[in-house]
Amino acid sequence: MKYNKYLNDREILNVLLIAIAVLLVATSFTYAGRVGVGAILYPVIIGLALMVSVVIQMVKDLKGEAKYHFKISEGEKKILIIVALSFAYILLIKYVNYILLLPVYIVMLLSLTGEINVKTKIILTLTLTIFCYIVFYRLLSITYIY
Amino acid sequence: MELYSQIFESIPNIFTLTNVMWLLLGISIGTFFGLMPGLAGPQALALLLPLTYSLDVVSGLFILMGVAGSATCAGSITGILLGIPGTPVNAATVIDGFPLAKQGKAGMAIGAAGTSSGLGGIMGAIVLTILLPFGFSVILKFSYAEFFMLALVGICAMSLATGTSFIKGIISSLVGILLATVGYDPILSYARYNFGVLYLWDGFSVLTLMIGLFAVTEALELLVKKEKSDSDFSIEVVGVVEGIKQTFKHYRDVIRSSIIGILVGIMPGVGGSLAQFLAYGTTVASAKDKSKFGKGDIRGVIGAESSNNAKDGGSLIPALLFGIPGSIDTAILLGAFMIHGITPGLTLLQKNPEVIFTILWALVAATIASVLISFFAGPYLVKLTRVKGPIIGVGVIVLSILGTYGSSNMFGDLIVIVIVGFLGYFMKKHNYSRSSLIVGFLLGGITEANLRLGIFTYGWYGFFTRPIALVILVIGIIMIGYNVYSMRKGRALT
Repeated sequence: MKYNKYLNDREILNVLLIAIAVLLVATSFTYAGRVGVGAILYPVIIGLALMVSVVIQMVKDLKGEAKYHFKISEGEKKILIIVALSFAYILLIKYVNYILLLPVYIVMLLSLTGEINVKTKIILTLTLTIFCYIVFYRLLSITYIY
Repeated sequence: MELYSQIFESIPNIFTLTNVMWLLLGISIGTFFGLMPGLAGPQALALLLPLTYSLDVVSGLFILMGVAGSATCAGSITGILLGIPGTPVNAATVIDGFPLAKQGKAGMAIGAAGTSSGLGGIMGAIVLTILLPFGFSVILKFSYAEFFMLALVGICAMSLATGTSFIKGIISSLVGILLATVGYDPILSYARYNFGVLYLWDGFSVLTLMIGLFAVTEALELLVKKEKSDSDFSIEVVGVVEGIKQTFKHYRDVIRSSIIGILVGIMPGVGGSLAQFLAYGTTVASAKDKSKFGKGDIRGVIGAESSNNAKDGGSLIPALLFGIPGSIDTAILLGAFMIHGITPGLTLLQKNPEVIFTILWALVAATIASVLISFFAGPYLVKLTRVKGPIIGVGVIVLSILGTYGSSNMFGDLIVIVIVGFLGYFMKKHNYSRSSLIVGFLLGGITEANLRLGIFTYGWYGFFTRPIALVILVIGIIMIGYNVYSMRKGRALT
């Protein structure tokens, strides 16, 4: 059996799930001990069941390791950038009005796709910004996001 | 009986001009999402949930039922004309629908698909109307053990049905249940798992999770996917009336497939994908001349389409009576109930009967309207699929972010939808079921509260000695066993 030198995204997902399950069980013992035995039962069952299921899945994954060659695709790189951009937009709208930043965000998202011409980009950006201004800013009266 | 008379008396109150407008909006959005390959009803429902927050419950349900009733019907048009199922539940329609389109009989196929889909949907609504009062008397016999067993069976069934692997389905459900534990303890109201973060004190919002998992994940994919349609738009669409005639000619197929759809819909988590193939399979099996199936037989289209709309009515039965979603559409509908503070079950039947009437009538109206749309505008609407994925993706992601804030006014929700959307992408990539996660989240609180209250009231043994609880458990084991067997058999065949 050959093992990958580095953890791949599937293994990271599995490890993350186990870590969450351990955290859940551990935290259950700290809080539930103070409020009664009944309260500890359910979260601990869920946490243990999650741990066991993930371990079974990891064993199954290891058996089929040869079939899965991890490589970050071009699309996944773009997804990472889109997620980073979205976080940047969300964090910035705490300080700058969200409608003012919206065209910049839309243009940057569209630029990443690379398939859309300039004319469509301009039309789409303007249409979507005006739509959001009317619906969210004027009709729903969301003037600031904080 | 009183419930039946109330259903008809409620029509003038429900069908106000405003509500009809909301229904039309839902149908338009549902049709658009149904037509677009890669998008489906759940994405549209998730995206529209924030909008319903600011509306009264009847208007909100009109929008959602408009989407639920129209997306499947619209998806059949894309399947027939382009050979790509608009929604996953139209996959079986493509088997005979696309060859018919290639033979120049696209109109007949669209006519048959629309009519059978409409008839199936109406049959589903009728069965729902008939069964609800009976369900009312059943609910009265339910206690903690029965609700716990039902929720447990629902979670397990959904884990099996929506993914390719049982373990992955279970993991997804457990993560959903785990997320449901964040916030206040349902029995002692003790704040837990918030790690000192103020945002987590109230737990996660179902709306935020749904938007993240369905709308944002799909938007991320649409933004990066390079897909060009090689569809032939020059297909002439004639013979819609012939398709309608063919449906009535093969009425036995419509009735049989609708019954299959309703029965599959009632079973939590079995899903529309199974219903359509089961209905298609039985249509083939019951036909005398089987030679044309797969090459363009109108009976194949009728069989598949009758079932997929009929299952909507069926899946609403466990959702309305017990709060157990029969499909992802009904899971989102239950999410809308939670947003409006409505509890399914006895309380719903006693205190909010207007909600049930609204769902019934909106489902019937949306089904009829979407059938008419598919007849008159379907072939033209399919040109919408020319819109590039990234354009839709940008729209969906922007509306998801602003819509989420619009409904909750919580900044933390914005961060959560992006994180959940990103995780949803990896879940989809590695075949972890997103639907199971949502069902786990929705039913997690029910299982915990009923398990603990049940143990407190009659101890562990109560769960295995109460007759109804035991029957539910046995049915659940049979259903799960059958699913595992089918899964293994299917894997062995491939």
